[in-house]
Amino acid sequence: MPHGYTGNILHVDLTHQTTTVETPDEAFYRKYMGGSALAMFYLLRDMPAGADPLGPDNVLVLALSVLTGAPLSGQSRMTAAAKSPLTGAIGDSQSGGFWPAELKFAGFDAIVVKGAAKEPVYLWVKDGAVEFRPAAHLWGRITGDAEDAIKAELGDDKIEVLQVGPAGENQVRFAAIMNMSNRANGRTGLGAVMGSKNLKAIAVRGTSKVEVADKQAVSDLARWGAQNLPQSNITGLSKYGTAETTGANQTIGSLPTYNYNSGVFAEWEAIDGTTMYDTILKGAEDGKQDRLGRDTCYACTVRCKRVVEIQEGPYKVDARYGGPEYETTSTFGNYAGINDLAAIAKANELCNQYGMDTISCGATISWAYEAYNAGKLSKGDTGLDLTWGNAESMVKLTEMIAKREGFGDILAEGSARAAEELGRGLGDYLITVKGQELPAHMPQVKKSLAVIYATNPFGADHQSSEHDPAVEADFETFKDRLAMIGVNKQLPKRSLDAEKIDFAVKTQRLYSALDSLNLCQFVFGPAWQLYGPDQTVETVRAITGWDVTIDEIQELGERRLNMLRAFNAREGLDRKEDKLPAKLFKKALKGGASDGFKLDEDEFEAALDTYYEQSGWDVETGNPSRPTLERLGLGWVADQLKM
Amino acid sequence: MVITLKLYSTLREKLPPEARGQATLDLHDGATLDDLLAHLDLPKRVVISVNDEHEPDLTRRLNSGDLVRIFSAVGGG
Ligand code: SF4
Repeated sequence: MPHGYTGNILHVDLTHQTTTVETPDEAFYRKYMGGSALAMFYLLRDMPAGADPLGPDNVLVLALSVLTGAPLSGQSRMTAAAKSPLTGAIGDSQSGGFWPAELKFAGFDAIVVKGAAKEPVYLWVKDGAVEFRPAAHLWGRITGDAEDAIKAELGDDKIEVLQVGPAGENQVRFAAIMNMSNRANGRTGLGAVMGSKNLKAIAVRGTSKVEVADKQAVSDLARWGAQNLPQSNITGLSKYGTAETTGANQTIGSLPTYNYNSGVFAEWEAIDGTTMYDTILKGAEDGKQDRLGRDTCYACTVRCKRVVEIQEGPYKVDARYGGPEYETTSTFGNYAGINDLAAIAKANELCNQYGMDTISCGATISWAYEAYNAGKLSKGDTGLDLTWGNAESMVKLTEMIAKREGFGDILAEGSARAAEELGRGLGDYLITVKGQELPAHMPQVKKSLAVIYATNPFGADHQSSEHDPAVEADFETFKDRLAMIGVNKQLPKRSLDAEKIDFAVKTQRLYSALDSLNLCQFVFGPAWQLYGPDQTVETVRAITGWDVTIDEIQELGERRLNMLRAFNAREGLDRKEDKLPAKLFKKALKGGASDGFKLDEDEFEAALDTYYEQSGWDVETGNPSRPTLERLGLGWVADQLKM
Repeated sequence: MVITLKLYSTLREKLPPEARGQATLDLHDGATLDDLLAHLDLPKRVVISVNDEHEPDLTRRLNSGDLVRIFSAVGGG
């Protein structure tokens, strides 16, 4: 009996409505461990190059890791991966909740979905058994309603439901895959992939337990976490949510405002996490929000998820759809100059009901706001007044996108495609990389993000490396943990030299490993997180019994990154696509601590050279080289690339 | 010398709950941000603005009427 994993990979053929179970050996699990790396194995092996992302040839993998379901904080997470309909590159996205642990208890480490069903179906996975069930009656229903209907017809309230909402059915290019109706595999449009396959949902229920190698060590780690949480650097995040960072970002000039034209928003305090805690978190009226206004993932003591309830006013919000994170208060807030927290919570609720990525949705809307305020879009185009700060239009547009109504139908294609379709120089206002909209951490301020955003295989991502402050102002606090992954020197503010790239590459490998171990990046990481790199190693050892080292974990991260890049190379992408939005170089930020900041082309291109070199990739193309792939045990991938 | 102080997220817990993070403080003339952090028993790893401008220098002397906001420093998210 393996420790930590079930040994079963479920393959689902939707076209023929058949399933098979593959049982890879231990060496396979040790090499890929789970999540994103494991998903990449199947995508590279089973998907033909050049597949239409919204066609039956696309393969959608939902993968857990060898740690998922163990009794420890931060382990109930899951990777969704497929070719992205938003970027045409690899799509990869992480989510937490209870579904990941439940799938493990039901007997599977991953589900590989191929083909497409003729009519809407959903899968019912229970303790190793799999059933295809008709879903025509669920099609068109918002997530909460569909979740209730599935639980009712299967007669078990403990079932966990992963699903697409109407936006995924409508193939909105940034549609999300939802679970619990409030957790999202948000980025890269994988909900549209699931929708294109006519797969409405995957309901799971399992009664087995995860066997761990060293129970005592796992419970020691859990106890240490619970004891240290109150004094840790994530205690604020657990109580006030990720939006607690709004004020600090405002202060350092890293709160993207007016579609990334400024790093400060005068009305930031109205949408800050502390304000959310005091006002719209469920239970806030009676001071009971710590009990009622926070939710969690399976076995996680941190309880960082927001639960917002609004019963009065123009924007009523149902608590079952959770509450906004910092990314969401930013993209629906400061990105378009909007200071109405209730409207932001409403947009978040709509995204969770219809199943859409709040980052791409909000940022696509803010792109339209900039074009409108520059006089390049009119009310005739949009049907709505998009003056900066107009909260009502933002909420309306969110719904119109999900339903593909009116101007929303154009925006449902994502801002890059919308700019191309509309012409008129609207590309000047884009804040996209590979067609995916930028998250709310500014590369003009935290400069290593310029390189990570540009090169990240699935488009700009803020959770793929540690951010610069850890090695700049906060280095003293985190130096012991950073030293564990070979980062040993404090660096000057806003540097982008080889030492900064070294920091980015090494922390990127650890984050990449976390996405393959499916560990939450608030709980595990190289700096401010609850557990450091040494405890990440201890966790893998305790659960699996494998004698892993930090070097093996870092190599896992590197392996996964190389597989992602190799997938893109196979699709014909290379260094040419590793581009940042032009406005980040051309337009200086206005106001606050980042006034005048912009990126420098020469410095950026030199940093890219260094990044590829340090990654062992070809500097001309930015693609993995055969020696690097072979060193990582990926010779078979090099063969596929015919290199 | 009287300043207005605003603390956010967990830092608010240094003040009584009814203050909701806001207080008027009487400090000795010439007090610096360092003195203020020591007075409040706050860590040095925080992000501070004085009159809504970022102030990374903890030796900064405060003036009567200043508005000092203090935030936890958190990465990522
Ligand atoms: S820290 Fe938050 S997001 Fe991460 S596992 Fe725990 S509750 Fe879920």
